[in-house]
Formats: sequence, structure tokens, C-alpha cells
Amino acid sequence: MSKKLALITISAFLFALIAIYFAFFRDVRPYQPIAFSHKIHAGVNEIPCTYCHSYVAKSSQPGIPSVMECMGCHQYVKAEYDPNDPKSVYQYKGKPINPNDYLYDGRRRIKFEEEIKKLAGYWERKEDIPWVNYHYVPEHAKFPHKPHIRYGLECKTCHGNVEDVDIPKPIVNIKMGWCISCHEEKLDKNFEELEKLHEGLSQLSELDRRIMTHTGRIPYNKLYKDKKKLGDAWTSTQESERLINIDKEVAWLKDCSTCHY
Amino acid sequence: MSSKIKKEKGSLSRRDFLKAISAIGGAAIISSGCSPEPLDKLVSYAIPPEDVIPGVPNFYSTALPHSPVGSSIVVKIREGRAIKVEGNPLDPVCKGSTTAETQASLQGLYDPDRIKQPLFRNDRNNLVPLTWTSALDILSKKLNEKPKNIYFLSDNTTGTLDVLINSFCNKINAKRIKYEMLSYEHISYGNYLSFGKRLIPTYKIDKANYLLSFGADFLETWLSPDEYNRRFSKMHSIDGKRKGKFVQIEPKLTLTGAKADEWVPAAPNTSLYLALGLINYIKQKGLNKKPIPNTFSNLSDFNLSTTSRITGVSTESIKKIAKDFAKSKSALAIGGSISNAGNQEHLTIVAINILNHITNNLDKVDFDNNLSLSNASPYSDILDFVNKAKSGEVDIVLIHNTNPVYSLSDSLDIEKAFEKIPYKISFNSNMDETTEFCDLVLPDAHPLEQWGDYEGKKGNRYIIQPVMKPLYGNLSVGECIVSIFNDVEPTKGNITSKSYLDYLKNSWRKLSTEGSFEDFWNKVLVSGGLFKEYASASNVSFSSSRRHSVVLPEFNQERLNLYITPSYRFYDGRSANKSWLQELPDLLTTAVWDSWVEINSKLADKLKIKEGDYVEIESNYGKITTQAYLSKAMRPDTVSISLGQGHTSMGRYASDRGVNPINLLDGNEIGQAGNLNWSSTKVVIRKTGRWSQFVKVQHSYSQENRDIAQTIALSKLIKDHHDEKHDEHHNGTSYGQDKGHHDEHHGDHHATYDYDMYKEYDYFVHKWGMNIDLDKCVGCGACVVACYAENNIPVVGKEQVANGRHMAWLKLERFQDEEDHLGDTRIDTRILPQMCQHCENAPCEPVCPVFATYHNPEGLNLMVYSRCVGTRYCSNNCSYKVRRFNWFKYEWPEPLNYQLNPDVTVRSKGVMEKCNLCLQRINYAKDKAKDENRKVRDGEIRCACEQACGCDAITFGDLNDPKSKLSKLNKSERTYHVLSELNTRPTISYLKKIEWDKG
Repeated sequence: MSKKLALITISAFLFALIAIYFAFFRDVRPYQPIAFSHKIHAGVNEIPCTYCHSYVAKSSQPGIPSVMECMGCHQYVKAEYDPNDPKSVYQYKGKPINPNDYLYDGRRRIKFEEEIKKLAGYWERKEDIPWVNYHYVPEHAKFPHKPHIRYGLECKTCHGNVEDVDIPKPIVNIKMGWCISCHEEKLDKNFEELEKLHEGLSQLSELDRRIMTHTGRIPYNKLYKDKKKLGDAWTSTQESERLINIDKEVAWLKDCSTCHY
Repeated sequence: MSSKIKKEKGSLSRRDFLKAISAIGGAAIISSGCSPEPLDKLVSYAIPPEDVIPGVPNFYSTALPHSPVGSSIVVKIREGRAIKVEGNPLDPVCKGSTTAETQASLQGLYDPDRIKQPLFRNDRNNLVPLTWTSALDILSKKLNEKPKNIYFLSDNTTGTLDVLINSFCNKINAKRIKYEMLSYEHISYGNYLSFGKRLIPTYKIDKANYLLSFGADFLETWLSPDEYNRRFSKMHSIDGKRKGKFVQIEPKLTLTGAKADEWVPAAPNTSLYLALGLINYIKQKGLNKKPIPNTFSNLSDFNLSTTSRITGVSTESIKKIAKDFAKSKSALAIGGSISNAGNQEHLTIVAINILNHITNNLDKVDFDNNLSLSNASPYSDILDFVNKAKSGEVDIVLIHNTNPVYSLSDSLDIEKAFEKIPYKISFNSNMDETTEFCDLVLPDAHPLEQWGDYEGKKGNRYIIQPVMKPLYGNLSVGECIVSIFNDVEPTKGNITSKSYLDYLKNSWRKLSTEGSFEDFWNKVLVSGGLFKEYASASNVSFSSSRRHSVVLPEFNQERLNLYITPSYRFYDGRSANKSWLQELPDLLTTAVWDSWVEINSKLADKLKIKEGDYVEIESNYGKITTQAYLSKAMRPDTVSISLGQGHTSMGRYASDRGVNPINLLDGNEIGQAGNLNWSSTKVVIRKTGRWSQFVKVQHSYSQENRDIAQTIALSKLIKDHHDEKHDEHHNGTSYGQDKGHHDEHHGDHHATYDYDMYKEYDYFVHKWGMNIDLDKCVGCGACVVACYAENNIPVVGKEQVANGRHMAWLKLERFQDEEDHLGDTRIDTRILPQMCQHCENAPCEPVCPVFATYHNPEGLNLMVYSRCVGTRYCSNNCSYKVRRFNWFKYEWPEPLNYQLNPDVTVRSKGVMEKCNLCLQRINYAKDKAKDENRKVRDGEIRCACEQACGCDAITFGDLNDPKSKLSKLNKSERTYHVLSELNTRPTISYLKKIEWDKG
């Protein structure tokens, strides 16, 4: 009996080890059909993110460039390296980059010219490039880029310094806690502003405050002893507008239905 | 093998096993919780299509050329795929509304059983695929062999395609038949006899305040259901103090009849006698405003007692109808449904025309906006074709969009006739009964993939434009004909157009009045066509020189009448392979996925038939076996079967399901109008002894005294204008609550209750809500299908519906009560669209152990799918039983999954789901408003059900905005909440159905 138990325990341990490896240590960086480097594009050549991810301000998805858009530049940029031509030697942050022998993503050595030829091949065949998607939000959560851009967030806030790496790793594991932490920050800021408007807020009990920050709503009689004191703010005055606007933000920042539907 | 359970020494005990497994389980949880999902492909476009931004929908207007009048639609496209169909608000016929069939047209596009490439019958008698080029080659070669007798069978094609097919038929010397199973030739012939116009007019029922319908199912399939839905709603809804009255005369309660203020069960095939009886009574009482033409020579035979005896309608009823009709300021009589189309039905139309004539109501019969259905070939043409085919006089037949093998009675031996035709070519897009016989199949593209136009009503020309790339690269029939047109001999009459689009543009060129054609063309593409509703200028007057003598019918009491009703879900059976429609419960029976025979419950008692029994229905011409459904709302001398099922092929959802009642009819028997005699067949029914569960959604007629669907008497409503007294519970009992309680619900949703244990919510910005007008709702099911389409609701199939696992978020509940009225049975039918009520004090919320269902700050009760662990406590605690549980992982067979709305999560196994008032639409509108730096406008957000509704019964809006349409509606004295005595405080409110006073 104990032999069998030991066997099962050992195999379970091994399985757990494998699982942990796959969960935490496995390299999620994929092998893409073309060794595309964000470092060369966004870093060395300083191409703005929205040049290629052009729908980011219009749509929930940032979009990836079509082969046609890639060829817009690459019919001229062929990276044919002439070692004698000093112009063709790249420099990035003081370090030289050799287009003929570039350590791509710290994993393998590539030649720019060949990669661009691969791209041209796709274009000649009028074929789509099957990039491997490794940076995603699960289906049950909706993450639209558009409102975040509208709010004024920069790409790097979430994506990190894309210009420094070939394949940008997600800077965090995209989990709900990470979303919430950022939303909470903004919520606190709004709450402070709200406190300036309504004296009642500072006197809220810890529980009520938590209810309010979590749900964005609070019974009015907790803010004002009688409804009349809220007065016209209830309907149409300027104060109400401010109240409502701030409240809208407060309400929506942590509401489940903002992302899950 | 030993059945003993041995406890071996050294084997693992349960406890040890669990210990070990927990270690594995822990590891598994870690790995499943954190490991990334399998890597997916992120495919870039090679060449980006114009106007496509991934994640942003595009809308294109186009049209569906389906019978009877087609519909102009706007299609929502995401990433190049059509995902939702809406009505085109510019079209004067449907004005933005849709029917269930229109909503389900997407499932025609993504039908998994569509033929993917041309097929050709080889020497071994198998259909084998081939390329389009060679298929077209074969077609032109075949036509160049100089066959003598060519027939071109199509549906009622209109517009440019009709012109093209006609000129093609002229060229190859083919005889053209525009075959429609439901072709209404009796109406056009009756109008020919009355006015000299062989046309099907538009009836302006919205202008009438008394509508008398002789069995016309105008809310289902009759002539133009989209339009009549809207017109009826206008006529029947309360306008200040007036409300139109609608009387339906039919042997079996239909969806249309369920909406009637007076439902009069008359024997089938007796409309003519009843109409004559009414004319005679009006004549006797001198109520006519115009002299009565002596068209019917023996009119005086139809006195009250004779008419009552023949029709089975009490004399009191006849008197009342005649008086009401004649005295009404603006009345209208209509009739001529397929179910009634016997050999004399054209005379009924004449009699109805006389009724309208003598009461000065012909101004509501509009021949200027006539239906192109008037041009369909009469049934006698197809009968002629079948006879010729049998005698070998047909060499080639081309079939487009019509399925005669299915839709003609078996008594014609159509299959033998088809076998005799040497070469058969089909343009049908599905492998249906007819196409199976064909030697060459050139599958048509779906209307959403092709160019074209459609003119369902005169002057109202819709443009059909491709909204997406053809799924399988199939060519449309127009494209086929244009590409072989010049290859076929003789060479005279060649066309110059290179493609069908060219041909189409050429035919539209003459419609362009001013400016350049390109501007005109772009304009009509954007708006969806050229819409013109003629102000009916020409007033018709009754003029008939013919005289008819009507023979009194003989009675055969031993056999039952057969009443065949066209289906509002499948029309004539062409939509049977759409799973949404199969799973849409038939309103009154709530049956799904099958056929049934409706039998009067008293008759069934006598024959010892119970629900679910398989019964054999036999006429002189055929025999079918199907399940029995017992109904109180039909005559005991009649049994009724619905059309549309009984396909032997066509696809996975349609085939081998139900029966086709057309096989009981004598296909050779034609009426004087050239129509098939649909209604005078007699049948006997017999029990077979087999029984199985009758699969339906709602199992009870009764409200169990809970007053769910409430009504209010019209007189009370009018009185209330002067008198502030409310009587909330007009009918049934209430749960002992005071009236004041109810009043507080009206309008003021911030009302507080002294005794309420629940806290008061404040909704700072919006409080979304919805109102459903039970007086307007007709129960057509468009909202249900729209909800399926918008919210990725899975279709579960017949077995799961039988287990009570129907997934519809929005369900039409029907309640029926029987009462006596003037000697006739009167059935009080109430329909209640039921979905999540979004209660403020939602019973589902506190019982969820994981907070998966919660109340959001805008008054919605929502589900967080990713949190749900499937305890189903919420559903148990729901007072309205509107929550649906995913018992399985439901699949959408390719390519039906292309239709899924990318904005809505596809729920998986073990998750509860329910109506969320189209949260994705709310979020979309709010996002748009924020872009434009404004607030969300009232009426900007429209839920899928609201947008589909043809009778304007559903209103979504903001309850926090006192000026919104919804807030105004909620102030009505008709407003109530379902089961308000539970103090769940629903956000969905209903307006009570208005009842005419009884007696």
C-alpha cells in the first residue's frame, strides 16, 4: 500500500513541478513567422506606436498593420547591408547594431535582409501573416483600448518600454487585480474631489466609504440628513452636474459590468 | 466476471487516495489558473479592405427578396461578417421593423447545409462537385442542344432579375412559371371580378376603426405581415379615448385571432356565406350607405338562421357584427387567407368588396400600391407543368428558389413527373427535395452576398447589395444568366452587359432623374432603394356585370374539416432549416421543432385522444401521422395543421421533422380562380396508440390567479380620464395589497415605503428601464429571434427543450381563459413577453454565494459570467423564472458561429445567464456619447427586441430622465409591474392590455 502511495505522491510531485514550470517559468515569447523587432522599429527608427497600431483611438482593438502597410515602407527599406557604407550602421543607445548579425530577442541571430525578404514574400503571394498572439485579454473580460487612449493614458503605461525589446513581454500578468489597482487610484482621486464638494462625505463611516468606493453610490440621507439640503443639486444645478460627473466616474470605475458582459 | 467487490490487501484505501489526489489537484489548479491559454493566431490582412476597422461595426442597407413582399434591411457587419439584421427605417413598408423570419435570414446565409460548389450528376448517378466555369459550360451546352420544351420555374421574382429571366426565357424559348406556394390568386381574381383589376391591393387597415377579418392571418403571413403589423398597431392602440376594434372570424384561433377583440369561431370554408349573411342583414335593416349591387342573385337566401346554421356563428353575433360594421365611421373588411382558399374564395373577396362598397369604405383598398405578388403564376400553371412532365413533354427544367417537390401534394406524383424530365437544373442554394432530383446544381448566392433589386410593392424598389464576400464563392442566378446569355443560341437579343451588376445598373439608369448616375446610384445604395408610397389617387368603385349564384353547401358531419395554416415561422417551409425559427415556440401551442395537429379538446375527449398521442390523419388523397395538441380555441368539427415542416431533406434542422399537410390535399383540384383548393378537404383522425411527450415550452394556460398579464376595460380607462379612481385589478384576484402601494410605482421610482426593509437606491446618472405595452404586442416572435441573434443565445434542440432547458432570454408567455360570449365560445388570450425584470430588490442577488449576480449603479441586474460557479440558487429564488442555465457547452456548427456577436461573451457550461437589457448596446452608446462629449440621448439606445418590434410595443429608456419616452409611458394609468406584491420592484413595467367591454 505504502509503495503505491509513495508512487502516486512522487508522480504528483513531478506533475506539480511540471505544472509550476509551465505556469511560471515557461517562456511565453513565441516564435513569430517573421522576426519582427519592436526595438528596431519603435526604438531605433522612432516610429510612433499609432503609426502601425492605427485603430487604437478608434476601436476596442489597436489593430495590427496589414502586409500592404508594412510594404509601404519596406519596398524602400530593404536593409541591404553594405559594411563599407557608414550610413548603414545602426546605433541604439550607444550600442551598435549589426544588421547582418543581430541577436534577436537574446535567442537567435538573424539577418535583417532575410527577414524583410520573408515579408516581401508574403506580399508577393498576397498572403496574410499568421502572427502568434500571446498578449491577450480573456474572452469574458472586455478591454477596449479606445476609452483608455481617450482618457490620455500612454501606451507605455501598460505595455512598458516597447522600444527597448524585440518582443515586448507583458509587463504584468493581465489579471483583474492589476486593472482594479489602476482604476482604484483614479477613484481615490475622484473621491478626494468629491469630498471638497460634499461635507458629508468626510463624516462617512469606514463601511459606508467602502460601499461608496466600491459601488459608486451611497444613500443620499447619509450625505445629507434631508433630501432638501441636496436641494436642486438633485435635478439641474451646476453642482449637481459636477456631482453627477464625478459620480459617473466613481460608479463606473469599479463596476463589474464595465468589463464583464 | 465477478460482481463482488473485493478488498485486496495492498490496494489503496479511499482516504489515502484522496490524500494523494489532493496533491495532484493542487498542482492542477495552479497550472490551470495561471498558465496562458493556448496561443492563438493574430492574422494580419494582406491588403486591408476599405472601411473596415477591426472592432468597429459597419452598417449596410440591402434587401431580402423573400415572399410575399420582401424586406428592406440594414445589416450590421463586424470584421467583414454579417452579424445582425435590422429593419430599414426609411422603407415605407416595414419602417424599420422586422419579422422573425427576417431576423433569421442570417441563418440562411450561414446555413451549415448550403451547397458549397456546383454539382453535376455523373454516369454513376452521383452528384459530384465541379468548378463554376465548367458548370456554366455544361449549362450553355445543354441549352444549345436545342431542346424543345424548356420550363423556367422560379419564385415570384421581381425587378431587374425578373426582366433578365424573362428575356433569357424568350431567347431560349422557355416557358416561365413564377410559382409561389402561397400565391393568393383568389384575391386578385376576386378583385378582377369586382373592379376589373387583377391585382392584390394594399389594405389601409390603420385608417379603419373597425376591422373585420374573414380569416386573414395578416399578422403572420398574409400579403405583407411586416406592414400590417405596423398598421394594425396604429389602428388598434389607444389614442386618447379611441381605440379600433378588430373582429376575426376563423375556425381555429391563430396568432392573429389571439389579438382580436372579438374572436368568432366560424366553420371553415364558410366565409362567403357569412359575408353574404352580413350583406343581407345590412340590406334588411337598411344600414347600407350605398345601394347593394345585385351581384349575388340569391342573396336573400342567406337570412340570419340559414347563415347561422351554415357558419356556426350565433345569430346574435351576426347581428352585432353587421350592425357594428355598418354603423362604424370607418370600417374595413378583409379576407382571403390561404387557409380559406377553397374553390369559391374569390367570391368571398367579391362579397367582402361589396361589404366595403356599401358602407363607403373602399377608400381603404389601395390598388395603386399593389403587390407584385399579383404577378405570380396561378396554381393551374404549375399543375399544367406537372401534367406535361408526366407525359414526357418537358425536356429541360430550370428551377430557381422554389421547391415544387416539397410544396406540391404527393397526390400529383410529382416525383415521377420529375424523373421523367430528361434534364433538370437547379439554382437552389440548399440540397432540398427538388434539388436532389436535379442533374446540374448551380447554387445561388445568398441575397446578402449578391447584387440585385426587388420590388415587392409597386414603385417601392429595394436595392440588394452584397454586404459580405460570398462564403463559398457561389454565383447568383443573375450572374449565371448574364455570363452564359451570349453563349446560348440564337445570337439575336444578346446583351451588352459584362456582369449582372452592369445589367442592374443599366436598368436603374432610367430611374435616375437628375444629376449624374453615380451620385444617384450611391444615394440609393445608402438609403437601400427608391421608396415611394403612392398617395392612392384613384378611388375604385365596385362595378361588376357578372352575376353569381351561390349554392348552399352540403354537410358531411362524419368527417372533419382540415384547416391548414401557413406558418409565421417558416412561411411555406422555405425557412425550415433555420434553427432559431425551429426553436422559436409557436405562440399559442408553444411547440418547438415539430409539427402537430390541433384538435378541439372536447372532440379529443370523445375520441380518447390526449396530448402527445400520435394520430393518423387521413383524407381521400393521403395520410399523415403526427402528434396531437389539444386546444380549447377551435371548433370541434375542424382539425388544424401548420405548414412548413415535413421536409425530407434541405438540411440538418429541417429534414425528417414533422409532416407536410399539403399531402392531404388533392393537388388536381383547382378553384375557379386557378388556385389550389386548400380548404374543402375532409379528413378522419385515428389514434395510432403511440405516445410521446409533446415538446412545448409553456405547460399551462392558466395564470393560477396570479394576475400576471393584466387587462383594463376600455370604459374604465376612459372614465378614469375624468375620475381619478384607479382599479388596478380588473380581473382575477390580487394579493390583498392596498391600492396606494400600486400608485407609488407609477412614475415616481424614488418613492419610499414606510415599511420597506430594503434600502433605497439612488441612481445618480441613469436608471435604465423598459416598458412593454401588452395592448400592442401581438406575439409575432421577432423580438425573441432578435434576442437570439444579438446575445449569442444557444439553440438547444428538441430533447433539451423537452427537459425544460430552453435558453431564450425573452419568452412570450401566453395565457388563455375560456368564456362564453353571445352564445359563442370566447377565448381570452393574453400574451406577455417575459424576460429578466431587473428587480431593485432582486431575489437572485442575495442568494448568490459568489456575487456573480449583482445590481449595477444604473439599475441593471447583471451576471458576471466569469464569476458564476453554477449553484443555480439564483434561478431557484427568481420569482419570474427568467434565468437560464447552461447545462452543456452548446456548439455552433461552422459557419453558424460566424454570426456570433463579438461584443457578447459566449457562455460556457455551468454558467447562468439572462437578459441584460443589451448591455453591450448601452456601453456602445455611452462610448459614442463620450466621444462626442454629450450625454446619451433618449431613444439612442435600442435593445435588440425593441428594434425588431413591428408594433412599437417595447420602449427602453432612462427612468431618471423625466422627459424620456419611458418615464412618460410609466406615468400611464395602465402601468403595472408583474407580481408587484412581492416587492421585488422590477424595472421592467408593463402596460395593461385594453379590453373591450363584454356583452
